[in-house]
Amino acid sequence: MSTLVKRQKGRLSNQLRSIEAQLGLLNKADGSAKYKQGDSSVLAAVYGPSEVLPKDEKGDRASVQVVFKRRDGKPGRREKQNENIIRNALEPIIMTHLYPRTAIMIIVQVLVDDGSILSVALNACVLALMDAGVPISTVISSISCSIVVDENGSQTLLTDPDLSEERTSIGETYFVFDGHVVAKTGEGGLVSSVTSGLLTDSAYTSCLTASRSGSKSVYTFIRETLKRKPTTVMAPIENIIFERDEASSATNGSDFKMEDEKEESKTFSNVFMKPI
Amino acid sequence: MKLEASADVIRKLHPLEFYKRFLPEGIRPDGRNLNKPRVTVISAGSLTTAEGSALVKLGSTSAICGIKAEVTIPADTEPQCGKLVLSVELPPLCSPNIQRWTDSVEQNSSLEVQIEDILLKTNVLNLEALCIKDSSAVWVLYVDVYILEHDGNCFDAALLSVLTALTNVKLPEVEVNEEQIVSIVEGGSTQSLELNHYPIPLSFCILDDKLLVDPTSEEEELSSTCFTIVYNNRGELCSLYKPGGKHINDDILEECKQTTLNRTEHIVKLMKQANEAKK
Repeated sequence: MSTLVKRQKGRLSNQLRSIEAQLGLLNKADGSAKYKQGDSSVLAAVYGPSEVLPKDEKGDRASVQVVFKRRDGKPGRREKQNENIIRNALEPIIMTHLYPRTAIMIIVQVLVDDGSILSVALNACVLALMDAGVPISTVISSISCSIVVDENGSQTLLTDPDLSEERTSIGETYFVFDGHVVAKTGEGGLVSSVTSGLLTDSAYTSCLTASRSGSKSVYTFIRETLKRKPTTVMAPIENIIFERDEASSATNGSDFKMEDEKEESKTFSNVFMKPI
Repeated sequence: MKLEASADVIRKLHPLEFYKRFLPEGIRPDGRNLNKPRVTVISAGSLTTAEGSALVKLGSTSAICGIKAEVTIPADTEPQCGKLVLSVELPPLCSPNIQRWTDSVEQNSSLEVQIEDILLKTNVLNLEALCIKDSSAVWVLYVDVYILEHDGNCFDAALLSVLTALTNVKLPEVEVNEEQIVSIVEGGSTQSLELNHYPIPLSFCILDDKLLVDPTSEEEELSSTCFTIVYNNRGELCSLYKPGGKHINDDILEECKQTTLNRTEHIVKLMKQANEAKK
């Protein structure tokens, strides 16, 4: 599983698609972000802290509500489940105790679904929350992986799969990592994990490792995007980047990881940022 | 006036403080060790009107599952595949936290999606085995789960009840005549379903930085994160579901995987015993 494979559109098996983000597209919302990973694209808006319906009111903190809208088709159980997963990941990082008896609404609108949509949606939500100036205690970022089997029966891990790769996969994983923890220690920091399909232990572990290093790129991207927003006050990013490099070289990773290290800088260089 | 507070009063008013007295001693208020699951009781065939049924109790959490079979026309895209329709109900009587319809819908759909993903995406059941006649008649299984009492960890109870009920299903022998009408053969044999593997779940939560196995609803509410690991009897990972909460490190994850793996054999044995007792 550690070998790198060329996939469609010339991507390597552990390479992310190019990332784009745009903040503050919507005027009415308190914060909004359009986030793209390859062709998958999501628009997220944050309203709040604002007035809350009496039934959702919580005495000691803000209630966080997530709405997940597909591009087309009727909303079903799967969307409810997506809302549930996104809310569960975001609620603990939002400092809800600062705004008792209010509501924070997060609306996710899928614009184009070309795979890894849940990860793209979560990353968009984090950017929108930061754009809205809602205080959060840490930055989380998400990456999905798929496992495909070729004719010889050997399994290959594909990071950030697109829709055609997801359809042919035998197993899928979705991970969310706490960016600060991963940047500091280079390990741990697992916030969410959702898997489907039968996975061997080693497949799961490689997915975890690959997603963790992918999520570091997304984390750095999110910080860089916010840094370009004129009103944002940020903690210095420099020392975190240094620690990140030390930490990742210190871990005795598999050969998969070694390959990945070289790849990561390449991936990040083709990340395209739009001026705000 | 003398101010006295009994343990019960402290438990209600300061539940977290109450737990913090117990956990460092390695014991929980219900008398269990931190890494001990509750007593699991599995019984099969408790509903006589259904084709297959099971009742599962994890401590006081109890789930009942009934499976009804009907004949239907298969989809054009999959002419040989039977169908499986799953629904999980959390009625308001099962827990004080489910008062409104929306609460129940949110949890229902989450449980349904999780169980359906495990059953269909890991290929527990061959849907081809439900075929009666190619592109004209297949079985559809209506799998209904009721959570009778929700004292934490209802996913584990629900999944176990579905699995036991599936192994308990007895489909009657049927024949199809020229006019494509399906009828039951009088006095015919019954057919049971073969499961390819048994995905066995175990849930964990982290409370006050301590890892607790098989949490009760009280522990779930106080915990900083909850997650469920599902391994099958062949040692393959079927699902690792952690929707969010506080981050965990890899050591804890490894430890939990091992605990789950060690338990699968015991639970599969319980399931088989339950089915044999019915025969």
